[in-house]
Amino acid sequence: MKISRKAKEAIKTALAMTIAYGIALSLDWDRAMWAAFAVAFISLSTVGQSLNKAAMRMLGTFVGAGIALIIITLTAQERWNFILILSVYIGFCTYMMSGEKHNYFWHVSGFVCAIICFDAGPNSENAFSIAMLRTQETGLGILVYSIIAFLIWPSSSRNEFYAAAQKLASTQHQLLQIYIELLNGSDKSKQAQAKRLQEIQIRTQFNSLLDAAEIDTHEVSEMRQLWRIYQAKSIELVEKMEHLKSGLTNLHGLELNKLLPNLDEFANEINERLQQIEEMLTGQQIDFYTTNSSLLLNHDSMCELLNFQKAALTLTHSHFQHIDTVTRDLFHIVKDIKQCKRIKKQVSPIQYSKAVSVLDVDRLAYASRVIMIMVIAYLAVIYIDGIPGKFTIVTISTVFGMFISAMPQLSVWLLLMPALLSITFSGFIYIFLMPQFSSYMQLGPIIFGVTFIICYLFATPKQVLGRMFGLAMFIVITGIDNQQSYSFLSVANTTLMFPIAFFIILVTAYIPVSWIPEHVFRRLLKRYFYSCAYVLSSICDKSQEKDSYLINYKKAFHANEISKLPVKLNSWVKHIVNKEKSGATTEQIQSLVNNIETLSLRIQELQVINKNTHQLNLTQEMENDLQAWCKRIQGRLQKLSQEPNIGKSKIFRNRLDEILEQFENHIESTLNKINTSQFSGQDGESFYCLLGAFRNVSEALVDYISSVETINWNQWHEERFA
Amino acid sequence: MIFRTPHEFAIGGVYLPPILIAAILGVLATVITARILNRYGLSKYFFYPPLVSMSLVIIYTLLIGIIVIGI
Repeated sequence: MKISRKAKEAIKTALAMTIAYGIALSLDWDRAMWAAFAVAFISLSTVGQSLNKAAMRMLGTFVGAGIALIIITLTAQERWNFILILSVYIGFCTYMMSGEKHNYFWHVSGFVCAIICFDAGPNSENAFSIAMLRTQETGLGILVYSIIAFLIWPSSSRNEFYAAAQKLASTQHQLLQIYIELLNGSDKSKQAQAKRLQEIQIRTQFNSLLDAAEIDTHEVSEMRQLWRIYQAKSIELVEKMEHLKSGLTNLHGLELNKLLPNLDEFANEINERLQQIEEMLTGQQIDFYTTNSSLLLNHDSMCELLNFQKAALTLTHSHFQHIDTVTRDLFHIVKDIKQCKRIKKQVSPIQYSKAVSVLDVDRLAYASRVIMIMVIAYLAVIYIDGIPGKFTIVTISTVFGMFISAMPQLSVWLLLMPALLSITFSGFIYIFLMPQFSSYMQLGPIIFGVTFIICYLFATPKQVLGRMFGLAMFIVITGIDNQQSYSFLSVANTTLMFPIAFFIILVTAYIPVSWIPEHVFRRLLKRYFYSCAYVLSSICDKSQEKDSYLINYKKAFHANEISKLPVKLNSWVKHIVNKEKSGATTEQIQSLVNNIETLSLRIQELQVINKNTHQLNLTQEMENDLQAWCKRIQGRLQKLSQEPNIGKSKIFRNRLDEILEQFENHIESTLNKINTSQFSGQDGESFYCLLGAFRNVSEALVDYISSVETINWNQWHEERFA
Repeated sequence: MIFRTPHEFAIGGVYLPPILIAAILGVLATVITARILNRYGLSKYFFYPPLVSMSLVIIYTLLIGIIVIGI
C-alpha cells in the first residue's frame, strides 16, 4: 500500500507527540504539554526545515528563559518595574522578529520570556524550576521529533531544493524573455506582472529551502558559500531586469535594430547562458562556454536622435551591460558548484550595502502594539476581580499579539472562529472521551489519532493557521498530566479567556491608530512620498559640505523607506477588496502599487547615477536646468505626501512635455556653444544617463497620477466602523 | 425593574458573573449597531468611529446590565 506524503508527515508528528507525552509523563515531569507544543510547532515537511526551526526554538527558549529569570530576580516584588522591563524586552523581540533574519528565534524568545514571567512572576520561588522545566520539555519535544524525522521516512530537502533552484532560474529566464519581447513592442505587460509575482514566490521558497538544505544535504552544505553568492546574485539579476523594464516605455518608436546593431545576438547569448544555467541545475552535462561579446551602440545613428531619446537608449544599454555581467557571474557560480570548486575569481564582488542601520517605523508600531496589548491585559488582571485565567490571559494576549504583529493584515475576527472551533473539538474530547481512560495505553492512541487527523486535514501551507490552532487548543484544553482532573469549569474558563484576549487585541487594532487596510494603505502612501521628497531634496542639494551623522542617518532612513514601502504596500493590496467600501477594485490598487514600485526603482537609479556623476563637468546653464527640474519633482512629491491622491495626469503630462521640450532646446543650444569634445565619451554617457534618470522619475510620477485617477478616493476619506 | 433576573448565571454548574453577560451582550449590540450604521452610510458623520464603538460598548453594557440583568 502506498502512503501519501501528507499521511507520512501526519504519522510522524502524531507519533512524536505521543512519545513526547509518554516520556514526560513517565518521568513525572509537570506540564507535559510543553514538550507536545515543541513537537507541534517544529514539524515541517523536510528534516532540514524541521531541524532549522528546532534549533531556533531551542535557542530562543534558552535566551527567553534566561532573560525571564533576570527580570524576575530584579523585580520580584515590584509589579510596575516588572511590567516595564518585561514590556521593553517583549517590544524588542517583536521588533526583531519582523526583521529579515532569525525571526523565529526572536518570536520564541519573546513568548517564552512572557510565559515564564507570568507563570512564575506572582510566585517567584518557583521561577527557576519553571524556567528549567520549560527548557527541558522543549528540548525533549525537539529531540523526539528529530529522531523520528531521521528514522522514519526521512525526507531530505535535497530534491525540493534543486527543484526550487531550477524553477527559480527558469522563471528568471522567462521573465527576461518577456522583457525583451516588451522591448520589441509586444503587449505582454500582464504576463510580465504575473511572472514577476511568481518569481517572488519561488525565490521565497528557494531561500527557505536553502536554509534547510544546508543542514540536511551535505553537498549543499559543502558549497554553501557559493550557494549564498548565487542567492545574492540572482536577486541582483532581478533588480537589474526591473530597471531595464522600467525604462522600456521611453524607447517606443526608436529603430533599435539600427541603434543597437547586435541586440538580437546579444539577447540570444544571454538567453543561451540562462538556458545553460537551468540545464546545469537540472544535472545535465553541458559544454561550457561564454563569449565576451558586448552590446554595441551605433553612435552615428544616435546623432540623429533627440537628446532624451539618446538618454533613454544610453540607460537601456547600461542596464543590458549589467544584466550581461550578472548572468556571466551566475553561470560561473553554478559551474563551480557543479564541479565542486570553491574558486570564484571570475565573479564580480557582491555589493553589500554599507548603509547605516536604520529604524523601521512599521516594526516599531508592531512592537508598540504588542506592548500595549500586554499592558492592558496586565492592568485588567490587576484591577478586575474574578477575570478568568488571571495571568494566563496576559500570556495568551501577548502570544497572540506577537502572532498578529507578524501578520498585521490579518483581521482579528478571522482568528476568533478557528479558536472557538478548536476549543469545541478539544472540549468534546476532554469532557466525553478522556474520563473513560485509566492508563496511558488508552490515552496514547487518542493523542495519536487526534494529532494525525489535525495534521492530515490541515497539511498544506495555506492551512497552517487551522493546524496551529487545532494542535494548540487540543494540548491546552486537555492539559494532560499525571494528576489528571476533569472539570467543565476549566474548559469554560479557557473558552472565556480567548474572547477577552481577542477583545484586547481588537481594541489595539483601532486605538491609538487604525489598522484597517485602507487607512494603513493611505498612511504608507503619505510616508512613501515624504521619503521620496526627502531623497529628491538631497539629490537637488549640490553643496560639497560633508554630511553630519544625523543627515547621513536621515538619508539612509528615507532610502530604506523607498525600497521597503512598495513591498509593504503590496502586502496590503489584496486586503482592500471590498469595492463598496474602498471605491476601487483589487486590479486598480495593484496597478497603483506597480507604479509605486517603478517610481522607487527609478528614484534609486537616479540616486546612483547622480552619485556617480557628481564630478560631471556640466555648464552652469545645464546645471541650473537640472536643479530646477529636480526641485519641481520634489515639490510635487511634497504635495503628494500631504494628499497622495491629488493631481490631474493630463495637466502633469503637458507640464512634463513642456519641460522636455524646453530642456531639449537648452541642451541643443548649449552643445552648439561649447566645445563638443567636452561632451564625448564617458562624460557624455554619464550626462545622458542622468538626463534619462530624471525623465524616468517624471514619467513614473505621471503614471502614478494616472492610476490614482481611476480610484474613487472619496470613500477612503470617510470614517467607518470596522 | 420588571425584567430583573437572578444575579448569577449558571451554565452546566459554572457560575458566570452578570457583568460578563452584560458585557458580551453589549459588544454584540455594538457590532449590530455598527453594521447598520455602515450599511446606511451613516458612519461618516462620526468623528472617530473606534472611540464611538468603545463608548457604545460601555453604554449598552450598562443599559443591559441595569435594565435587563440587574447588576
